[in-house]
Amino acid sequence: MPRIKFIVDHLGKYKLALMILLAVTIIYAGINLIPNLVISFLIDNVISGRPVSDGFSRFLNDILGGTTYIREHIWLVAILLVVIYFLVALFMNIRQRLQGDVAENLCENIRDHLYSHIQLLPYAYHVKIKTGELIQKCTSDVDMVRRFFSGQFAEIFYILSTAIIALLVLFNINRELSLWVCISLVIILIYSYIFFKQVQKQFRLSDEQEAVLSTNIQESLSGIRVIKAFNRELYEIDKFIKENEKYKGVTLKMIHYLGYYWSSSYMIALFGILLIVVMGVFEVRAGDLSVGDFTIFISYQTTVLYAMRQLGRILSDFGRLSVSIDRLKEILEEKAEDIHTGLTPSLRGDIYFDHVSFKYDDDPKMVLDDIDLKIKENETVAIIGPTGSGKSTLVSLLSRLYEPTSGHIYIGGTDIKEISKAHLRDNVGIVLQEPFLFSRSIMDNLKIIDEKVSDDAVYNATKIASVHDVINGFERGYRTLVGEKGVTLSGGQKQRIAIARTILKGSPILIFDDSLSAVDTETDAAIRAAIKTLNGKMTTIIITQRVASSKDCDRIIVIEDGKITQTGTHEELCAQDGLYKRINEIQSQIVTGEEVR
Amino acid sequence: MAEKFEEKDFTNEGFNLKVWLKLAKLFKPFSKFLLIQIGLQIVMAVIDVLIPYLNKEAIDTYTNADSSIESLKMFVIFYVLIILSTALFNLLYFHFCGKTEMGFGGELREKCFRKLQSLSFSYFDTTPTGWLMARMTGDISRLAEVIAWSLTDMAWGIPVMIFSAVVMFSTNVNMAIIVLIVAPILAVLSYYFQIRQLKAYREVRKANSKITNDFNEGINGAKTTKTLALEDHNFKEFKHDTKEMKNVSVKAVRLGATFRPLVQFISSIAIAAIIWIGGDLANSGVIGFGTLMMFIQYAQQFYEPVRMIAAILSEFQMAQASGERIIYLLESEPTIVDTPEVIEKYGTIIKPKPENYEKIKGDIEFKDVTFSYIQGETVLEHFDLKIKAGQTIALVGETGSGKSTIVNLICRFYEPTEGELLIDGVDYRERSIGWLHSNLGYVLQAPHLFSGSIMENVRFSRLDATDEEVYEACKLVNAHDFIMSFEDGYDTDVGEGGSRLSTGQKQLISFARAVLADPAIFILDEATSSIDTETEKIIQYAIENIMKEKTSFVVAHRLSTIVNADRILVIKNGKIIEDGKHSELLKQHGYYYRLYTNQFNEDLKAQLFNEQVTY
Repeated sequence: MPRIKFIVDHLGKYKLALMILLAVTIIYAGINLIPNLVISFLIDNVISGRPVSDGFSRFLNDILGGTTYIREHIWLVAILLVVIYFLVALFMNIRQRLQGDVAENLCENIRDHLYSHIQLLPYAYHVKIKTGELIQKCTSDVDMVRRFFSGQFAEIFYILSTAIIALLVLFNINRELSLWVCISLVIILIYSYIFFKQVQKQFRLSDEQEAVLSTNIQESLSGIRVIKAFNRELYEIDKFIKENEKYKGVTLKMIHYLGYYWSSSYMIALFGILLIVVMGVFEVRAGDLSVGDFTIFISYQTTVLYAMRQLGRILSDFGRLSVSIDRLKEILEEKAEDIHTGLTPSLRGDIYFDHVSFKYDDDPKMVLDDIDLKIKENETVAIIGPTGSGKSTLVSLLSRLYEPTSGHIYIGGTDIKEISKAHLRDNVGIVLQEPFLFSRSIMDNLKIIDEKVSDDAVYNATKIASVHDVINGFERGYRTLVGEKGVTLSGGQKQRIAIARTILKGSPILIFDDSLSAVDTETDAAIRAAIKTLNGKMTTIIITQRVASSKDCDRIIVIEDGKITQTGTHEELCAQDGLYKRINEIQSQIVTGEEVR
Repeated sequence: MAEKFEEKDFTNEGFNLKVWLKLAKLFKPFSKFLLIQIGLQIVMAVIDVLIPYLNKEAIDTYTNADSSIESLKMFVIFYVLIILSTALFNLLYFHFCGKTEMGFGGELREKCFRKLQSLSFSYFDTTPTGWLMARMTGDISRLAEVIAWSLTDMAWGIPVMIFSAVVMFSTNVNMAIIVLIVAPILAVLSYYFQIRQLKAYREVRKANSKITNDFNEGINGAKTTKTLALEDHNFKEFKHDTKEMKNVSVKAVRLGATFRPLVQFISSIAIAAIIWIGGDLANSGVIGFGTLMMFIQYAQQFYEPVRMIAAILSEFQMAQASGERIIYLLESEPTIVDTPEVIEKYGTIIKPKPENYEKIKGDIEFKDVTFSYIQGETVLEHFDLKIKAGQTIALVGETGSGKSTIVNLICRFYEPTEGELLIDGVDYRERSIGWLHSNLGYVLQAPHLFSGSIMENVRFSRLDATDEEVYEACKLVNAHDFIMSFEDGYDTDVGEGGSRLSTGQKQLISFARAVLADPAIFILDEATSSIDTETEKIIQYAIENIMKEKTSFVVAHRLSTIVNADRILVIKNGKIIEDGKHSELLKQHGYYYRLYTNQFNEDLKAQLFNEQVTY
């Protein structure tokens, strides 16, 4: 039931279209059976001259003016058939168009919902998930739903109505024989369902191995430098051949299973037909069945038997559809962030971490422990400390990527809990250590903040980030396309473009989360100097591991194991025993060429 | 290197005999399966025409009370035999199709993979991974599938058509003409629609991969999106793409929704015509009642193979494009190859003769080397450099100065455009690529790990290393402790591309990997940029120990890594502008001095020059 609700919810205004689709399909199934009846009427009653017995023949007889008249004007029947065939074609056309409309609109809605929902899922979710898996769900599971509604869904109703209508006609003609037809239908349906379910397991194995094989190719392409440098081509080829053979093996097995399935179900269907042929022969001999009716039996049984085999297949596919829907629902049931509700005050003023502690939900270890820290408006503060000491967590709290476990954070006197997240993040510009650039031109990456921003403003920002000349050095300048995940740019170039992007936001609070790590020292210094010229206008927090980056900050905060252990200027901290002095020594002792052992 | 990869256009419509001939050559080992398949298809085609005939036999003969029950028994036995044999043939057909598809596809994939492994560096610098992936997966599968299944489906369709046509013509020429006259119309119509449909599907696939890419970016870039509050902006763009996807899909569906009913309707006109003319003929006793029935049935059945063959032909056109791309890949030649004499002695990458590899001492000399990635844009010009075995050389300079090019040349990822590069006094082109690469230890800035365990990743560089040797290497680079802190220790799965480890951890592991190789030449390309200061310090000594006897190159931004190098080379615009030990270079008060003091002692610099740092 919740699965049906999921579909209905995403149908939007196409709920009615789905209903119409069902009606059209049933009508289509009905008229599709008529031509055979007309042909049998022609042969049995008109040409062979048998008396008109059943209702439908009588009806035809009446509207076309009686058998004798029809015999003289057979074109009447031909025209009637053309009209019926036209209707068949028309309904077939409507059915397929509706199917397409319903399936494509349904999937558009699901995709939109998924995307916007995923964008709004909290930071913690994105840190934890396996991206490949999530993308897989968003694409192939949606496609599973699309495939079902673009064909199979209406097909089920088509097959069922065809079967019911055909059986009604047949029961009208001969009850005993119809019963046997029924039995043959049930057998083929159950057989197909069970057997195809088995085949599917093999399908899955083949799909999985195909994925393994693709990953293998993908990795040896992206790691080609390493492979060549270590002369491991042969090793890779061997590894590949092993996976390739495995793939060939499971897929061949799958094809064999398919072969068993098709040939055995074909065999069963043919035996069913043979049964009716033999029984029909005796019925006709006994005078209980006319030859024309006998042909109807055979042609209807043939049609419905193959349809039933198809139905068995579709039904056995149901499991996969349910799994897909469940997986999509699971994503959509994750709680999303509300980024728009809340206050939108001016975010100038002091930042105050009021006894803030933080731990991750699934880990008892305190990442930040009772941080009490005031940062004055327009101050430049460096945060330094070992990997994993909580530096990055501290600034993530500031833009509410995470919420403190206890304590409060105030900006300009307002508790940031009260502030809308979108507004807060617009005003707290963080440059990540591994920033993401979108696969479009560099200019578009920069203007993503605001399409209306002028080129000059962009150049200004890139000059501050010391990347303007680098970009102009590219053949296509600002129109250079950023490759997948920015691979054509070096790490440092990416970081600097990301810095320019954040500067363009003009946020009053600017945070560098170790985002100069891949930039060479000279450029690092140049960027910091340029930002200093803006400094009157913004509060800057620099997370770093380089003393060079921290020493000219107004204040340096040393964090170790989630606690602030030292605060002060470079000179003050160098005079104290502690981590800062140690780092400083390691990094600058060598200035005189001494070796530290 | 940043030039955009231009895909060769393979969408030309005409029949390309050359490609098919080349493919036929590749296909040759599987042609016997194909022949069996065709034979089976022809037999099955006969049976498919026979079964309606048997049903008619039953109606015509055995419903007659005169016929004997004995002969009915014989009929039933014959029918049963037909059923059993068709089931058997079907099974065999699947078996051989599978063999052809998997065999041919598998072999193509293997050939392409081998080719990829043998291609040179420059190929991968200019060809996007995505393009190659599409060749290796989609194109090969499509080609194998079309050849294995569709080709033999034709072997069913054509006999069915011929057989039916012969029966019809021998029965009644006029009526046969009516049935056949519609066939060419349907064939042309089907072909036309199929081509348009395939094109429409190509559009759908394009839109679909755009959406996949959107999801990819939306998910991988989620953190950036959040910190920049871009959610609404991204969603607006995404909505545009899904709308586009819907529009092209609906267009493709509409095409199909017009095509099938149209075909059905046109063939039904033939049926109506048969009934009209045949009905009159039957009435006047010219033809029998059974003949009319048969013609109606043929009119209903005849067009299915017509439609099918049209569909297969258009499928072949798609397969041809795939085939062209595969051939194009298979015919790509590596730009860096060993001469026949070298191969004679040292073997190839695929068949190496490591017993003939000379030990490397480690003297390296650039002799008047000129190099350019793209013609006309020289990166190095008349470059000379002599390095003694066992020395540690640090390369310093701005991005794009030529540091990485020097490294690329030493590794023979690229070869000098002019001049030569000597290793131990011999031009390295006189020895094999495999010889050089099996003596290299290479650590990259962006470390690349393969999915699998940490153990497997470290051992990658020396496959016969014992567990103890792996531990040793990891201890040396200070990776052992963090590895042991994982629940599964060395068996920890690193995830695809090492995604489950931090950048620093990945760097340490790729370090251990290079250490384990125990190479004669060591190359560290920005290898320590993501390791924190204290860890870096610890490895520093390890690195220096390892490097002591080896010729080593260190490319670094962080100068602490290079202070103890035997020689520091400052590279600018492809030229060495400063060369010497740390202390010597400091004394020169040149570029290195400026770079160094910037990083470590801006105060000192300010004092000495009494000025603000200017840039």
